[in-house]
Amino acid sequence: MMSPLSPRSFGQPLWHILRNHEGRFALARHHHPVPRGWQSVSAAMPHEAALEDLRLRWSDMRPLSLQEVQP
Amino acid sequence: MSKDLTFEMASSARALTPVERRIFAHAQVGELAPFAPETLVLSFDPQWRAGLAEALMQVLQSHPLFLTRLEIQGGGEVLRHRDGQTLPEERGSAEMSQVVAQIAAIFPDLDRAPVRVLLWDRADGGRILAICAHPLCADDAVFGSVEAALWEALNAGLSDGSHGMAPLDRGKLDLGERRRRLSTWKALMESYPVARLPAVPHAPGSVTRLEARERLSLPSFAQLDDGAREAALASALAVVLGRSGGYGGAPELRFALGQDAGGATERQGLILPLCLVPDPQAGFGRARDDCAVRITEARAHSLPAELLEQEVLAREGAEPRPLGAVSLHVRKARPLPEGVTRAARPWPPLAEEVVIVAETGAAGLVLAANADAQRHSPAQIAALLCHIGRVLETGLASPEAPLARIPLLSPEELQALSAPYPDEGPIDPRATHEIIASQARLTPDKIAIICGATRLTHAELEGQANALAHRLVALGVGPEVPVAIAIERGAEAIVAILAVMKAGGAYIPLEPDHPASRNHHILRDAGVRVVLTRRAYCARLPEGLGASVLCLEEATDPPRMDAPDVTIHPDQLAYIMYTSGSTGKPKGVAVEHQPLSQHNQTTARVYEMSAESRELPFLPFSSDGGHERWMVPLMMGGSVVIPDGPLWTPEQTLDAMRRHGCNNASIPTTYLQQLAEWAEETGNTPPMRLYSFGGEGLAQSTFDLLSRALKAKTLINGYGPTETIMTPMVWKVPAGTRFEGTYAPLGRAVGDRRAYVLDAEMMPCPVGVVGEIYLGGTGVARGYVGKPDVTADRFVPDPFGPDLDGREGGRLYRTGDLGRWREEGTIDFLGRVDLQVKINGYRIEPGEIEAALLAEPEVSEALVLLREENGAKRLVAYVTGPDVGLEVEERLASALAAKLPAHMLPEAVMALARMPTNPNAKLDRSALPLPKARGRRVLRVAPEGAAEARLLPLWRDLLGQPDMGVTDDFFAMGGKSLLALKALAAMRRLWPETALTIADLFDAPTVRAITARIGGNETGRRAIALRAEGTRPRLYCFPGLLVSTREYLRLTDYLGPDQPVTGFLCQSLNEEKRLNVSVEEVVTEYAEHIRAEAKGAPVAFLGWSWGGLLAWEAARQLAGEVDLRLIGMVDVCDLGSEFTPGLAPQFAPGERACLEADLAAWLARTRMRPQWEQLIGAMDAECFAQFLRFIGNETEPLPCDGPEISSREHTFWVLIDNALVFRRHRQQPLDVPVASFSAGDSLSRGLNLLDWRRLSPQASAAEVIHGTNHLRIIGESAFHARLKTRLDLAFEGL
Repeated sequence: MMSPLSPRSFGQPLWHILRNHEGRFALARHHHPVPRGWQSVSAAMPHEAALEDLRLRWSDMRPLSLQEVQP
Repeated sequence: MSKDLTFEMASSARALTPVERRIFAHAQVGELAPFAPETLVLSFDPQWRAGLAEALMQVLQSHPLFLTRLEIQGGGEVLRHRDGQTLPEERGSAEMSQVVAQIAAIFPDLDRAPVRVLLWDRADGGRILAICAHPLCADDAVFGSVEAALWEALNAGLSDGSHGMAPLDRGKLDLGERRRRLSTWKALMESYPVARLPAVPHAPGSVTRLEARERLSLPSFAQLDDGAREAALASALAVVLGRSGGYGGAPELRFALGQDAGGATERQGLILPLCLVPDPQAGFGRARDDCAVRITEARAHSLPAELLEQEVLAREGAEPRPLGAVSLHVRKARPLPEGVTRAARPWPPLAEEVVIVAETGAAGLVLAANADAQRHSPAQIAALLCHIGRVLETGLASPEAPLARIPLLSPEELQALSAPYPDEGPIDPRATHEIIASQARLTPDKIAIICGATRLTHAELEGQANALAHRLVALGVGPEVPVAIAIERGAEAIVAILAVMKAGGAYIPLEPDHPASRNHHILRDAGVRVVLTRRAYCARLPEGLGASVLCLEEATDPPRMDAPDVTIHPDQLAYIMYTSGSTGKPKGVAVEHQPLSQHNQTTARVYEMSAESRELPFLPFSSDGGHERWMVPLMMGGSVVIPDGPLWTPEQTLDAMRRHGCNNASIPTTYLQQLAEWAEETGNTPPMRLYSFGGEGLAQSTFDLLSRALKAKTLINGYGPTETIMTPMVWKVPAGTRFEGTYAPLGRAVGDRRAYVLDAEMMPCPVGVVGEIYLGGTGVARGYVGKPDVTADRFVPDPFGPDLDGREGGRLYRTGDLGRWREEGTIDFLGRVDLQVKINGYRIEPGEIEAALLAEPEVSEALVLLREENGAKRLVAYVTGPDVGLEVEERLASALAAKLPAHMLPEAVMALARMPTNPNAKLDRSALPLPKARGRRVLRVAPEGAAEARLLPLWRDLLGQPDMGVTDDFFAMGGKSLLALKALAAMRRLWPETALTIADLFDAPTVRAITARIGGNETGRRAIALRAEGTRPRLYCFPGLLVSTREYLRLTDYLGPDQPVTGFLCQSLNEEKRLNVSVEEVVTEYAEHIRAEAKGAPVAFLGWSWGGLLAWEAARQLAGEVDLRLIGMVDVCDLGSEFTPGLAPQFAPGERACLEADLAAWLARTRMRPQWEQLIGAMDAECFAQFLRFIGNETEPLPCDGPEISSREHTFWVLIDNALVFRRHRQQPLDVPVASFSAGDSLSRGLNLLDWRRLSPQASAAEVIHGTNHLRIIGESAFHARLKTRLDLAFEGL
């Protein structure tokens, strides 16, 4: 017989934290390729957990170049 | 060799198949589309000449196509015989291209020659053969079998690989299986919405279809077998269509899949909806496998497409393309013998918005598409084919890669679409305030700021700012130190801001007048260290703020030309701007110096600013745009005129512009409109080079007003969230530019930025597809102060920069705004992601409703919002306009009802004097009023007198409205047609002596009004003035069966206030049954009414369903007495063969006796027995036999639920009653203008629609209204529009 109706079983995506050469952080979906110039600095985790991680991790939001000249 | 070359010579005739029946109905009404004559053109090189004539004769005498003869019988029955004859016609000499042109003019005639065979001589001795067939007889598959027969007869030695298909199962399904399949399909179609490409209209006019073609060479595709190829193509199309659904679209989708009928000898019409739900995270390999299974399942449970379409179209608000808006037909290339060439193969019917044909063969894969030019542009269709090819190629090469990540756009396309305004100018590395300071050295005495009585030259500005800067340094201001500026907009605020930047600090503008809670939050959240303010505002600062407060009154140091010795690092903060999000507290957006200065410099070039620029910036200082608009002129050595109060009237503003010689102005959209209205009224406009504006969506009507009234050369619509620094996107156009869509485009990026439209998986959307707008490049903010999590969530890694600009490690800001690319790369604004509305599972774009409102002449601004109150969601529309009032609200609500599907109708339309704005001149959503409680207000007026007291409870019960009062409107309280009939029936029981018609209820729809009429003996009317007055000739609407005339309300509304309309009551609704009444008698009453009212003046008639026959009879009776300009005939069917006099019904042996017994048993049960007996008593013997046959053909048991008016039995009774009335009636030819309209569904059912061209020389072929059925056509705006066009033509010159 026909397939069951409309299986909407696609899972929720996982996220990870990326960091660039300026020391700026950004969230990205774990299953997307990491764009050039960024590095993954965390495990894959749900969105809310990644936000929590960032609150702890990123206390000085100045870019690295500025931190170097104005400690 | 092919197996079906000897066709059985069956002389027996057969009835038409459903698809043939449908095409016949199209032919009947004179509108073949979506079908078209089918042609096959073959060109033979000279070596074939010798044997061709004989081979052709052999095929013409044996192939069923050429033996077709149709016999049209009474009652619309058609028989297809196999004893016809087709003879070849010699046409002289020609070449291929001439032949193709010539046969385009040949129209096969069903009555005389449904198939034509034509032959030409080529100059080189070769031959050209053209077969031109009526679509009822042939399609591409039939031509396939003709070709095969020809090659066989020619001994062409072509091994036939193309007809390996299993014979199609044409066995009849039993009723139970048919029902089971139908209910499965129904459920499937409900869960899988029709996928369509977004509308990108390009040719509203002559061109109706456009074509595109793409040839692909994919070795991995060529290796697949037939089934896998079809599944791969269908999966690739599913991916492309899934992405076309736009932001938040459902993963489920359906489109139509045709089936290659191979070498069938008769037209098959094989097409089914394919329901797919590709998992975006799964690979193409799995999608293809799933798809193959779905295709096999669908075909194993196939039903005639007509049945599925009818099922869907029977419902209100139905999808107009039930099988799909896009169809895919995969067919194999048909090889030709050496020395034979073929002109293009026929297309499947162009019944969908986009029809795609994929031809697979040795030459590779050829994709071709044919599309509705009213909806799609050539570039869009070419892109569609290109995208299918790209998905196919990528998917086959990496079958594991997630579908969602297969790019549709090429890097070149993305490069072009996302590119900023071209700007090759050099970038000055200095900070904004340093460039402003340099102007003080170049032109010290030039005016920089005019504000009230204050005039500051560039030197004075510099001197004052320096003096203040030194004070700030002394207070500890340095890099990254936030300094709040709590000073109202003006020269002193600018001095203060420059001073903060000179001291190295980051300024935070604070409007002293803003609510204290907001300002206190900002001061605390940002960790402000110094507050620059006035003494008067000190009291407004929060208690215990750990910051130094410097009042301007105390900063009296003399001006100095030296700035503090401070080095500005490019990444150092320039300012922090607080933005109010739609929820939560304002967030501080931190912006660094380098991107700010770069933005200002490129903006100056895009705006063509110079030292001569004098700008009037009306934007407030609490938005970043307000700062751009003073920084840029000052950086260029120009000047600004700052309004000295926040509330200048339009008169003051225009006066200031003129007095101070401004040449450009930047003004919030909401205020600009008032300005333009004033300017237009007074005609007093200062000459300006440029107006820039932004902040809200700008409608075309407003834009036109600005163009017209403000007379500036250039207009710039600026857009940009604070997070992407001021105005990262602009749309710069000459005044008078036209744009499509609801709002003016946002334009493209400015400076070192790119703008993207991305889907939920961050993949670029094709042109026209709705996605979220992302902005990237260097021109973005650092982030949100103290909010690393939100920053990292909104400023995401840029996946495109490395490939497009070579910039690695860049970020994109996710704007939360919905947009779509236009073909040239500008972006349209469509609303907020978080304001996208979902009600009852329907995804609704408020912009679409707003567009519908903006199209109404009274509306200048429209806003549609989802309001939630006590958990209940309601759509509310707000409009403004020069004279919108309560009556306009009502009119707009009904105008929307005529244009939009029911689920998109706002619950209320509210007219406002102005849209409320917040202190930033942005729309203040929270200040919009909520409409009154849900539904209509019930007035609850208590009954007076016996009549009211008797009637009211009856209505309350019927409507289920226990609160209803005697002044509440029956129809507004939910009374539909059938309820109205029930109410009438009940009232007749209360007042048996009174003649009551539905017209009475219609005209007096409250308990109070109708009882007054009954008391005053003013009832019994048979005509309803749907619109009493108007300048145009009156339109008389004749009723179909069981029609109450309320059905004509939408039409009346559409035709507008100038068009008077009268509706006649349906005879069957009067419930005064007179058996064996003739059509002539029924119409006499209507004719008398028209005669008395029209008095020879021009009129028009409209007949819907059997009402068309009444209208025709009225035209006959009134011939010469009225000036009949047009009869509109809407889906008018003649009586079917069942009751045609002279057609004796056939019964199987013993069947008639059985049926008579059934009838007797049923009559013994039903409560309507007296009525039925009366009816049967009026039948003659032939008619009674026909009635028995009719009952015998019914698949459902006879109904017993009468005599209630909404019962099936009552409807059945009315049907038979009408059959008796109409069976002896014949339409006579008349010479009157007829415009006829047919519902697509009626054609697909092969209803016996009347061809009015046979009855009047002034009748035209029917116009087909697709996507609707016999019952719904009368309420469709597509029909209204076409009727109006015909009426306009008919009334021309009156």
